[in-house]
Amino acid sequence: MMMHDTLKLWELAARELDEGDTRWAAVHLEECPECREDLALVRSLRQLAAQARAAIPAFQWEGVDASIGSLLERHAARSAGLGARPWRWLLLPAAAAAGAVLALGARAALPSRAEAATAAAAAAPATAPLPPEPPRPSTPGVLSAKDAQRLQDGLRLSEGSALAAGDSVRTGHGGHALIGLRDESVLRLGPDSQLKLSRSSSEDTAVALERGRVAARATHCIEVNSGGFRARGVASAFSVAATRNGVEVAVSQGRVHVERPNALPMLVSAGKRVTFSPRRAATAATSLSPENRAELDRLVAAPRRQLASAQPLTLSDGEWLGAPSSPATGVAVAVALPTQPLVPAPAPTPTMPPSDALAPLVPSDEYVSFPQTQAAPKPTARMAAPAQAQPASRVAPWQPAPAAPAPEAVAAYPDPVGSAQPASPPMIAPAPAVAEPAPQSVPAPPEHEAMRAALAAKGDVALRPGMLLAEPQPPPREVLAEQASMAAAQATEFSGYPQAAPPAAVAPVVPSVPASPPVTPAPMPLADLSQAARPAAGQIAPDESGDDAEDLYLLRAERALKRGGCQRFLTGLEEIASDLPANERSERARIVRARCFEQMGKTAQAQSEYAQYLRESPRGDFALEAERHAAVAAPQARPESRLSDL
Amino acid sequence: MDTRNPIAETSPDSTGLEAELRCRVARVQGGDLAAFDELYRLTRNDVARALFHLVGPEELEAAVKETYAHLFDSLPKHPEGARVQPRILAICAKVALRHSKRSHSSSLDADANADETCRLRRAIASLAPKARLIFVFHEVLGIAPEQLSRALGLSIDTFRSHLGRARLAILSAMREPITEAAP
Repeated sequence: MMMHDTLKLWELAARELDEGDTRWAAVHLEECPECREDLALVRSLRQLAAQARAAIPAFQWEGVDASIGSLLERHAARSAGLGARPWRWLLLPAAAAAGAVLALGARAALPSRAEAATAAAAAAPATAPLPPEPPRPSTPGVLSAKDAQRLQDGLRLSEGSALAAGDSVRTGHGGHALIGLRDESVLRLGPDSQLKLSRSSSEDTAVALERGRVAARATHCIEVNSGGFRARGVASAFSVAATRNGVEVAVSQGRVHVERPNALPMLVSAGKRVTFSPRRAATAATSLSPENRAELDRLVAAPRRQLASAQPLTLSDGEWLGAPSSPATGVAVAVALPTQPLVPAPAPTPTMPPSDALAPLVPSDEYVSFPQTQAAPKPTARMAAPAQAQPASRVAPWQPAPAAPAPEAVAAYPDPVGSAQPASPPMIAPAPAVAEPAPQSVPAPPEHEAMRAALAAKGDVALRPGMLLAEPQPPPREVLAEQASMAAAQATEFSGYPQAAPPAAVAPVVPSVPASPPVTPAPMPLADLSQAARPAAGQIAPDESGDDAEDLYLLRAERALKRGGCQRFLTGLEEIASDLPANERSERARIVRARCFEQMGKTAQAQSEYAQYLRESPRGDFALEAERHAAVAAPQARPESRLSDL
Repeated sequence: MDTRNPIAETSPDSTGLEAELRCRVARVQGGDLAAFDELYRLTRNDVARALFHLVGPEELEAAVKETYAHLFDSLPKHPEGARVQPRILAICAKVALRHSKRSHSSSLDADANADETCRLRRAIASLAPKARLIFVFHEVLGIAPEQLSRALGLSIDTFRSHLGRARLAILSAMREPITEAAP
C-alpha cells in the first residue's frame, strides 16, 4: 500500500476488510507511521461514536408530549365527528345568523303552512333505503355498583348489568357506579349523581352528566357534557362535576379539552382543577392535592378486571369523585361483560325527570342539575335508530347540492354527522333515539318542522329532523350579550365582502344566538372565501387549496390585527401554527401571531415567535421579516447541549 | 434504561421490542389511540438520539414532533405483521433530510473548545445531509449497511460510496489543527 488509503484504514478498524486486504494493511502499517497515527485516530473516533450510541441527549419532552397529545386529541375529535379545531366554534354565531337569515328568507319564499305540511309528508318517504347498520362493538357494562339504578326501568344496577346508549344511571346518597367501556376505559359515577350514556362506540364515548360527579379513565375519546360545557379527553384521567358555581374539571393525567359556550375552548393540564362558569368566561384554576391526584391515578393505573374487585376508591368528600365521607363498599367480583350491542332507547327520555324510584335521593348541596338541553352535541349517525324503530324520523334522501358548503365549513358546525362521514351520508340522519337529549327533549316548533320539510323538499338544504332554527331556551343574559357582540363583530368583519348566499345549511342546535338581531350582510360562504376575498398588497394570502375554515380564521385574525384586537386569536393561531408538517398556513399563522404580540407590546414573545418561524421555515415567505425582527433581539444564549459525550 | 434500539434491528425477528411495537401498531390500527402514546414512549429516546446527531439540538424538538406525526399518519397503512422498526428508521431519515436543509447546529460553531467530542460533532454537522445520515445511522447508531440501505432506498454500492465519503470527510476534519475560538 504505497498510497495511503485512509478509507481502507477505517474499514480495517471496522473489520470490514477481507483477509487478504487485512494482511496487506498490516504489512503497510508496520512501515508507515503516518498510517498508524491515522488508524489510532480512526479507532478513537469509533470509540467516541460508540459512546454516543448509549448516550441520550438531554431533552425536554414536555413540548413533544403536548404535541403528541394534541395529535391524538385531534384525531379522536375527527373520529368522533367533531371539528379538529374547536375554536372553529367561534364561527357558530355567524353560521347561526346565516341560518336565521336563510330561515327568514325561506319563510317569505315558502308556500303556505298547509303546502309545507304536504311537502313534509311527501318528503318523508318511508320507502327510502336504509343505510346498513354499522357494527357496534362496544359493550358498556357495570363493573360494580352500589345504590345505583337505571332510570328507564328502575333496574338496580349490579356487577354485570349491561348498559346501552340512551340509558341513564343515577346513584343515591352514598352510592356509586363503576362502568366499564371499551378497551380499558372506565367511568366512575359518584354519589348523588346522574349520568346519561349518550353514545359509546369503538372510537368514542359520550355521556351527559346531569348531576354530581363522574371520573373517567379514557383510553379512547371520552366526552362528558355538562351544563353546556364539553370536556373531552383522550389517554387521560379526569373528572367532571356539576357544581353550583358551574362545571369543575379536574385532570390527573393527560390533558382535557374543554369547550365552553361562552368563551374560547381551553385545555386543562394534568394536576389542575378548573371551574367553568356558564355566566362568565373567566375560570378559577387550582392545583390538585396530591391525595386527590393519587386517588385518580389509582383508577387510571388499575387494570379493568381489578377495578371491580378492588376496594372502592376512598376519596375526600367533595373532591375528585365525589365519594362520601365513608367509603362505599364495592362489589368484589370481576365479571365478564356480556357482549350486547348497543341498543338505542326505544323512546326519548324525559329531560330531567327526577325519578322517584330511587329513594331517598338527597340532593347534594354542592351539586346542581343542568337541564339536558344545554349539553347539546348532536348525535352521530352511528347512533341513529334503525328504521323499524324510528320510521318517521326519516325525512328525505340526502342529495348534496352543487353549491354545498365545503367539508370544512360543515365541520365548523357543531354537527358531527356531516363532518364525520362526509363520504357516506346516504340520507338525512334519522332522529336520534338514544344519543344527546337536545333534539328529543326540545322538539322544534311545528312551523320550523314545516319549514324544514319544505326546504328539504326543495333539495337545497341539508336538514335533519330535530334541527332547530332558533334556540328554544335562551342562555343567561350575559352569555347572550357576549355572543351578540361577537356576532356583531363578525358582521363587521365581513362587511367588506360582497354579499352572497349563506351556506346551504341551517345551523343545528347551536349555543344560543339571539335570533332577533339581523345580521347583514350575511357571512360569506366559506367555500367562496378564497375566491372572493383576494388579499390586498401586503396582506397575507389565504391558502386557496387548504382548509377554508382555517383560512377564514387567519383572515379574521389579520383583520383583528389591523384593528388592534387580535388577542383572542392567539390560541387558535398557535394551534394552526403548530401544524405538522409545517405548511404555508402554519407559517402564516406563526407570523400573524408574532405580529400580534408585537402589537400588544410583548416584544419578547414576538421575537420568540419570529425566531420560531425562522427555525420552522427558514426559507419561508416571511423569513425576511422574521429575520429583521429576530435580529433586533438581543443575541440569545443558545441552549447548550447537555449531552456529555457524542 | 432499556438499551434496545428500536431503530437498529439486531436480528430478523429482532428482540421482544419489535413484537411490542407491532402489538402497539395493531392496537392503533384498531382505534386504540393510547397505544400510540405507548409506542411513542417506547421509542422516543432512540428517535431523539438519532435525530440529535442528524439535525442538532436546535431542530431536535421539531424533528421529533414531525417524526411522530408522520409515523401516526403512516400507521393505518402499515401492513399487518410488517416490521415497525424499519418504518421508524425511514421516517427518521426523511425528517432528518428535511431538517438538514436548514442551518445545522450553529451552536456548535461557537463551541470551539477543541474537545474531541465537540470536534467530532462539528465534523458530523459539516457533512452533506445524506452522508451525515448514513454516517450517523451506521457509525453512531450501529445499524447494519444492508438494513440501512434497504430503509433508505439505496443500493449497497451507493450506500458504501456515501459512507466512504463521510468517513474521509470526518477524518479530514479531525486532522485539522485546532483553532482558537473567537472571543
